Amino acid sequence: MPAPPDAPRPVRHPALTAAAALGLSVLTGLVVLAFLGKFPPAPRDAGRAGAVFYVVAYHYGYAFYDRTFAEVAAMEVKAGEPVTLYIVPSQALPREMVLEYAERSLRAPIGGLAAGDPQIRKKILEDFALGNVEHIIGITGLPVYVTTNVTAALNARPFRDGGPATLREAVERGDPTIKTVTFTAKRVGAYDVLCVDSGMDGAGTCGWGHKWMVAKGAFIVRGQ
Amino acid sequence: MTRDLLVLAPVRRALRFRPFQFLAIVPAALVVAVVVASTWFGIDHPGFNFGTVFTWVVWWGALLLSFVFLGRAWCLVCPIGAAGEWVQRLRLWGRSRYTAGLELPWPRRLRNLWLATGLFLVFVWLDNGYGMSNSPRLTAGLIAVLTLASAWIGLVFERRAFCRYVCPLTAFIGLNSLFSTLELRRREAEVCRADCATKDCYRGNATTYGCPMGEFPGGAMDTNLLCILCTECIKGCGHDNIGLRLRAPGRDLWAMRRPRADGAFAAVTVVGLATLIPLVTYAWLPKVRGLLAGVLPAGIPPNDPPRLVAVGLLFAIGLGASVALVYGFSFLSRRAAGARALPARALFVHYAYALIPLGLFKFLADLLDHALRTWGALGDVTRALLLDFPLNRTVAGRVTVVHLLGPVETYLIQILLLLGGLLFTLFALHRISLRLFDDREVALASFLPMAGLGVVLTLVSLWMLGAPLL
Repeated sequence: MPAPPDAPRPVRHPALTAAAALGLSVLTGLVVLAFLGKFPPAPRDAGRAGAVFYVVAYHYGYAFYDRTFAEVAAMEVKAGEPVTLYIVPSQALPREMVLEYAERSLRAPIGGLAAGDPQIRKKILEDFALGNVEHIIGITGLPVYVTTNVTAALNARPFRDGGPATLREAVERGDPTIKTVTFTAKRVGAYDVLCVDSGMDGAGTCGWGHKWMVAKGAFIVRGQ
Repeated sequence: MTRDLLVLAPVRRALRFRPFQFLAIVPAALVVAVVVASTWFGIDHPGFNFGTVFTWVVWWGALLLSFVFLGRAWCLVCPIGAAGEWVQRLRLWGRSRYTAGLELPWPRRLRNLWLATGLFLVFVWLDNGYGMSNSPRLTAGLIAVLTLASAWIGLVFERRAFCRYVCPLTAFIGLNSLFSTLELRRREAEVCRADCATKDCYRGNATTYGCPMGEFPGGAMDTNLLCILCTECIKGCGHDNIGLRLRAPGRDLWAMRRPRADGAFAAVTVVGLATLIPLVTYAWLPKVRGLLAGVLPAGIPPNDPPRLVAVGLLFAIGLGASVALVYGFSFLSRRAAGARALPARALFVHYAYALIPLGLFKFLADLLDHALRTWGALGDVTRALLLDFPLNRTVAGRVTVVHLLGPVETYLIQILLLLGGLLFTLFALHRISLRLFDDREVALASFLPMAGLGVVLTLVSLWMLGAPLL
């Protein structure tokens, strides 16, 4: 049998190879820079102008403060207005304040326990002892998803030594435990603030009561 | 009993349509683009991020199911492999006159599955040790790295060298596809041997490319191991001698004429990853991690060096145990078959492929449990994605956890799946023994120890599925 004729091979072209290699090099460089954090991983929102709120996350609820540090029942913003939230874990504050915030959890039923049930206090103290002091704060339907980081400041203790004395001082000092998130709420409505479950199937939580850390409709977006 | 789908005119027309593969890739590429945007920019929570839920629940599940019915159909639509091909061909579907590729041959020493099997182990280690499937950013990174690797390798080497020799999933997909109910093969061997002088299916012609995987559909290709169903040979065959056939499941496992050691080792790796390696990791991880914590700085998982090293060590031990076990039973098989038997190494190479259904059905059993629990999350994450498309920075709310079946019912179905896998393995082992030995009694003697191994591995899987989580 005669040897089969070779199929016409595509013609190699050095200029095309060089152009493709250059393009791939740029792409590879961008990916590497992105991984090293030198390349913006996400489009940045506008600066810190607009509404500002401070959210203290405690076991197991939230206290909301406006720009003047006055406590408010809910955070209200206008649609299209940039919003900056400062997320402050209560453990960033002195022991007395942490316990004072935690006492608020006794005022309402939680996790099947009646309001004021001493089991709630016991559970809170257990969480402190276990080091379940972090929260993952999210607002449903909005790009807010912030994981607190107070463990490093606690030095393996349940309460902090030598931290800021007040919320205002913590904010003004730029305490490293405070996380911020800036976004623009575009859709009118009332949104829930919650401590997000961990784990792919939502089965895991940061500790016993975090699952019930939901402030229903606490973020309100009004029309212009 | 087979049925050739290409006798159906609409199927034949569709598969011969030049842009067929490109049109099949486009939807997959769009989904992968959304997944990359979502995992890179989106919410850094595995259960709330569309990309991670889609990749590790939907895609992974669909991939496992596709092995059973469609072979390497994922490779047909995979945009990662296509990236290298597009760079090389400079065309999305047509035959190009020019190439940007250097078209170098892949190094001879690497023309096997060893590298791909090693990379597959790294892939699984990254998941078990570093929680890749629980990290949106790592998931995005994996896709980016694989796409760039495919493009670079496509630029330097000929054909789809990345897909054949490097892709960490190529051995896993190829081996499991041996079980598939779909096969692409030549119809009449004589036509290819005597009537075909051009071998267009391998070499290509003026309008079609030769097999991108370097296979020879008109010649030695007798398994699904490396056939990515790209349909290039269907388009190129001037004798209309390529068929796409439905067949009984698992036929390749025993009909393979030339099993190779690299494929056999990869098969044992895949089966080990489904059976013995999880067992070893389950039993010893806390202890080994504790020991290593004395010499390595501990951290918070996944950045916990003692845990990472412990997982790596236990993987090595589990893999070693898997190979030793299969080799040991091959040795017993040789002893049982008597002096006329093949060497234990040859039996290892032949019989290893028959164990694949054990691994595949264990993976399916694992998937069943996962899918029955996490399917509700898919609706939540899709809703969240649509609120901030495609960046996915929005929290969906709580993850919906709906248990479609209770744990007992789930476990019963898992038992049935594992027993199904065992039956297929026993059948494949039996057929291989009959192929290896003319004497039926000798074949039976050789078969029995390997069947015992199949039972042992199934019992391990059954125990693991019922074991409490760590």
